[in-house]
Amino acid sequence: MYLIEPSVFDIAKKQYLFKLKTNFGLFFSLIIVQMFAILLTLSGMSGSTSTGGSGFDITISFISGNIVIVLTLIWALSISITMTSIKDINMDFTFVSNRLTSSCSNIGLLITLSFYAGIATALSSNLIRILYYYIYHSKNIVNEGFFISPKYILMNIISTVLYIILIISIGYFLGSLFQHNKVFIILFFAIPFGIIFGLKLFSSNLNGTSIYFLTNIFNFYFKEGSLIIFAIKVLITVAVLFSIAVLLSKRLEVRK
Amino acid sequence: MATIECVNLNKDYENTKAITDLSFTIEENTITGLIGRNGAGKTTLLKIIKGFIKPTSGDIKVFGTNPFDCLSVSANSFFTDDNMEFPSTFNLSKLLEETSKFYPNWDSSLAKGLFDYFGLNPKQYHGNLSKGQNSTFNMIVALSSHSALTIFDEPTSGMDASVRKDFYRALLKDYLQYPRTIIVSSHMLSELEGILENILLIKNGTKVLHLPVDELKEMAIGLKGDISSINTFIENKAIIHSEKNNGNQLLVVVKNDFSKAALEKAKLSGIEILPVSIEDLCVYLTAKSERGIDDVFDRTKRI
Repeated sequence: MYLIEPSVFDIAKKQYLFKLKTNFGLFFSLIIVQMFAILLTLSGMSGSTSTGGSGFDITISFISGNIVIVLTLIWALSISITMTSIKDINMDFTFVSNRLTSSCSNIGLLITLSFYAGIATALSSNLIRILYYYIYHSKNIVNEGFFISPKYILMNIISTVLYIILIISIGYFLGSLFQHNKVFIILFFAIPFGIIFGLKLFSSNLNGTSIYFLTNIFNFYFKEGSLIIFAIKVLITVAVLFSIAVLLSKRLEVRK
Repeated sequence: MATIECVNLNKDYENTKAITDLSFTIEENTITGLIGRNGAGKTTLLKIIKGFIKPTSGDIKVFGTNPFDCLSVSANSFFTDDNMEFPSTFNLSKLLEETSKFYPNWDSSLAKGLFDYFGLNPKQYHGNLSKGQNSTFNMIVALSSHSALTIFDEPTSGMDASVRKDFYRALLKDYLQYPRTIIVSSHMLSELEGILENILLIKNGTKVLHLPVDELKEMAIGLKGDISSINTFIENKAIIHSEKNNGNQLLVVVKNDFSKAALEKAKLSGIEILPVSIEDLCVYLTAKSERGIDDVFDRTKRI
């Protein structure tokens, strides 16, 4: 019997298509998450201010898609962590697989989901506008910023996709770390507590430099004004995180 | 060419040694039975061969390369046991279709034929199968993949007697049509020995023997008679197994290197000469201790 010479790309592609079918439920789960988020938004969970005077009442509601974005990011984080579960990895090894093709097909699937979620999230802000228009009547809506140009929608989509890919790479990296050694799960929860307690204890001595450091990291990604520079920052971070995840998986024993 | 070459293989788990200094070679296009007691290290060995887990030390080559994390070993081998994970979103017929895409040598007519013959429901989901149906389905996938190396780890668990018989027959027929290297680990040696060519017997992670089935059949004989005449006949011989029957009757199993004349002499002195089945021989060779199960129930010895 002759031996088959498989290529990494070919097997990873087969696994990717296979996972696209087996994980179809993830596409639906996002619809449910976003519908829930839109309901929350429309029911006035967003910020509003009220002032009252004699004989009149003013309530100003700020409608934003922030809840949709936050819930979508949580969804992205949870699916990317669960994608590294040993059950999913074992399933790859029922069929033809090595660690590299298994990771590549996972990453491919996650990036596909990021694009899908990014587009859905960006467009949901339009949906919120339309729903708001019909529910609360047009006359009460401040027009400025209500209609958005296609160019702005496109930029919106690109930046949302980038945010989701960033979160997904962090989740996948964390999941791989947890899979590599369960100690990391404890560390992951212990370190933030440690930092908070540490800061509380020593904040007077440190003059808030640690907090400054953390906000610096946050600002590095989330306060970037240029889309291109933001994209470069995100893509480099994502590449590094995915590479470490793949390297970690290389040593993983399966079907133990 | 040897399909599997294994030299001084060791695998340690945290508290136990699963495999100790195991060396053997499995030739291409043979059917080998991997036999051993529970916990002998059969599954560990098979998972190392498939490249799921890494040996602690030693050298293993499958198709000439290290199997751990090797794509070509993965593509040319199929490992089947009870705990295979299949996606819960596909029904069985869809599952066969999707599986076939990974294996260029996939025999879809065989898969379909076996699937219908064993009466599986194509609309059913893998998670809802009974234990026996689960084993049957996994066996169908493993056979149809026509992988150059096919590993069955306890393939018949949960199968009823008639399905087991059909499985052995299907395995043999398909092997004859498409010769390939097959390893079967099983407890049902008496049922299996008809299709096996070689037996690799392991005990506590080490090799006891690796021989063709035909040689193993001839390897040992049983001698039954009264204690004194047996003892004089087998003096200085290594006893594989001995068993006291009621009274002063003794049954011993020893290596069969007697001359014909010696055996004739033994018969005349009232010793009965019995063949020893491979299954019994393997049980004797892998016995945990000198004591048998009878001793546990022998109240006079329990103090």
